[in-house]
Amino acid sequence: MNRYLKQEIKKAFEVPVPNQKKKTQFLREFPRPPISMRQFILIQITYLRKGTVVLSGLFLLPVLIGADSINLNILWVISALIPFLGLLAVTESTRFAIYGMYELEMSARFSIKSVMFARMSVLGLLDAFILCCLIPLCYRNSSVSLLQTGVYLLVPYLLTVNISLYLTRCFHGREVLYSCMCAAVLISGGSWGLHIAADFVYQISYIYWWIILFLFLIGRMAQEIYRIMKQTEELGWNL
Amino acid sequence: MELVIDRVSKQYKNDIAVDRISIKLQKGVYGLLGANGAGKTTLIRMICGILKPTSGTISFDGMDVSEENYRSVLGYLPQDFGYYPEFTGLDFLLYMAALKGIGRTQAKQKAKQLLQIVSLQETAKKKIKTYSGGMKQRLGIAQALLNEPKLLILDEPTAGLDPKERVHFRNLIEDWGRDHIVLLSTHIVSDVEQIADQVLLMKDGQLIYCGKWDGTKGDLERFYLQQFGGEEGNE
Repeated sequence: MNRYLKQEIKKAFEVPVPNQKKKTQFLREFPRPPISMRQFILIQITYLRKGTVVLSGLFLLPVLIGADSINLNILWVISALIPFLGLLAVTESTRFAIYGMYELEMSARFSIKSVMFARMSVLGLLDAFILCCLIPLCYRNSSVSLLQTGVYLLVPYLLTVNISLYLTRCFHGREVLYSCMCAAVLISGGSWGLHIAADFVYQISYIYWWIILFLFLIGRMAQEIYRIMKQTEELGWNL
Repeated sequence: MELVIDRVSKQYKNDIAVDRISIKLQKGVYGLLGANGAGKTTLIRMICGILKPTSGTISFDGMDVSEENYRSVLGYLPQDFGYYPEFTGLDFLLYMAALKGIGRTQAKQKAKQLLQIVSLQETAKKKIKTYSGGMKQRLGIAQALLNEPKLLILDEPTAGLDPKERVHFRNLIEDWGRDHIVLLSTHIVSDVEQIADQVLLMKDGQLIYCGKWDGTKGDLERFYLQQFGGEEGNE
């Protein structure tokens, strides 16, 4: 603005001394656009622990080192390790139950349900991507079909997710973490033990049983997710 | 600005934690007093939408407690709250701001301002696990104020605060209560005497007293002790 004009305005109008209280009141009542659900999901991604993402990413290591080109049959190793991928996804999505944040998160505008939905969606997509990379890789050097490879990897993964979600509903605090870890270790050991001690269950004649188990676990997982979402509507964790 | 609690009850099997409480709260500071197990925390959790009432309704300016709009005007400090171990004080406030739907830029400004108000600006970048009980409580108070709540609910807010912090907190609440509804639950009678405009007294899930408390009615602590058989309230 023209300097002369500024001086003239100053002469004509005396600026009132700012009233701090009124200023604070104005700023308090000043409407600000709240964040959208999309923005909220993006913000939640930044709050995923780096450790969880890095450890999940380690499952892509066989792909990165080119396990298929060195003719290595990694199906049974991956099948025994895959429960830990499920463990990471569940414990990250339900951290509020482990660290006692449920009361604060339930009373916020985006409540636990939204937080869990955002985290489960992101981690579910990440795990789906990892599994999509691992299944063809494990199939290439194994003596089983692509369908068998898929169910042998997905069944231990889904079993861990199911049991961990159930345990999250039943316990609270560190108990959730420890019980889920125990479940993952048992499923991992069981998967490896089954391959060693009862190899016949991996024959093609048993594939229908594996498919039935896979479909059952998918259904159960949907049920468990629904139940845990329901539990977040009201304080379901015994404090 | 009105919070309406209409015939609210909460029953756990055979135990009635809150028994048909009806009350209307307007601007001001309300002190909710009661012995342990009187039903204060259950009532507060219902007002915050964390517990569903067995019967009755709770609404704020016509918004039901289950609505997102209701939660967006609510600030809540629970009796005990957890935190993610990797969080610093500032991270915690920014995370809570995100849950309250506050944009990143505004959240940073607000967090900075509140950390200063609760005298935590120097330790804002330190992990919460290194904080003392009083510091955690002050951080909890700060997160409750992040969204400029029209309805501020505080469960045992002065627990763990030293006398100087307690005075500072009283002033803060007094100031907030001028334009908003503040409900603070405690069994520290002196806190209620000094801050609250109105006293709500709970016993066995029922509201046994509701109204202003002035000198003409005698000593509030004595009245409290009479109601609870002298077992509580000597803090």
